[in-house]
Amino acid sequence: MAQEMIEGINPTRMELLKLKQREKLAVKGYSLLKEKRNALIMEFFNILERVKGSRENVEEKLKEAFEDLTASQIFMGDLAVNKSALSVKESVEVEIDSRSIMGVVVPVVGSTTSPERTVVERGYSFVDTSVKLDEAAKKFEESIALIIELGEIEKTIILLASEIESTKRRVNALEHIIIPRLENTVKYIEMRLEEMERENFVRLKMIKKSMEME
Amino acid sequence: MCPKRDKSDIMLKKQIFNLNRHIPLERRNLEDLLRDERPHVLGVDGNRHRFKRSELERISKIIKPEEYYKIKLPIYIEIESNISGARILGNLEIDIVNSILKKDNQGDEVFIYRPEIRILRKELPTTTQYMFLVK
Repeated sequence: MAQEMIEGINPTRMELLKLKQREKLAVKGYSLLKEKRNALIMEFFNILERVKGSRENVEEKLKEAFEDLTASQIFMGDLAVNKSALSVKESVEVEIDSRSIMGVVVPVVGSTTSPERTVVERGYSFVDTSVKLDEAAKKFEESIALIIELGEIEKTIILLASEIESTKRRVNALEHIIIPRLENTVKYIEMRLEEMERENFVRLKMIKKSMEME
Repeated sequence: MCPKRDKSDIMLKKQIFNLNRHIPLERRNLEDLLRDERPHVLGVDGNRHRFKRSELERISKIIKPEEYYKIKLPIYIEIESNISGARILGNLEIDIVNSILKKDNQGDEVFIYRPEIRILRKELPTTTQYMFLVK
């Protein structure tokens, strides 16, 4: 297979110097981007470790909470549960900020107050409500913290994955296309210059010979 | 010069330049950050970098209270392409790294390697940041 080269290049010393500088820059860029890619992959796996089991925990917690909610609806009736829900005081406040992982802006999500509350803090009357409703509320509150964490992790994973992909593409382009092209062109110019030097040498020798013969 | 060549060179230079755009304009000391309700720094790219309070509290337990104003956060993990591993500079920064990695490094410069970087980043994801050394 023919080696790829940059087209439209004049085999001159000036061009050779410029190309060597470009090659140096490309190699530097390649090694730095490779470091970035490796660091991003490392971050990705760190986050992946955090997400392990997190989704299952959330699903399990929510399943239990909905089971208790259904039980309380059976005991108390839909209307009474809805009435209790309306009297519940304000829900948890979620604070969303950002942090940067090598230029990837990922969310930092947290709640300013603890989502778990006592029966009194919830605001509904506990005289005419079932214990199952208290349990459902407790489990929903417990799952809020897990959902917040899961949301942060999943969004981070998506953002990191797309950055890894684009960095990988850049690294591959440098490794397999740009750097080999530059190397081949440098080699070509060097060969051409050497060839021209040899031609010159032979020409001079021939001129010298013909002058001596005269 | 060929315009196509110019463009690829410019793009590559831009890529290298952008590697450190997340670095904060100004680092803040721990004392200041602990007082702040929402501890954060602003990056060169204008993005906010929020510190987790739990991490700040963890660092505050590692170093003495009289040194809170000396330590600047985030701690930089300096990565250079020519050398393997990463460099951490500063005595207090090294004390924190030693405490996290359970090591006993001395001096004002320490080199840590990939498995250690991973532990450090896992334990302190917001109070440490990567920095790429471009010479």
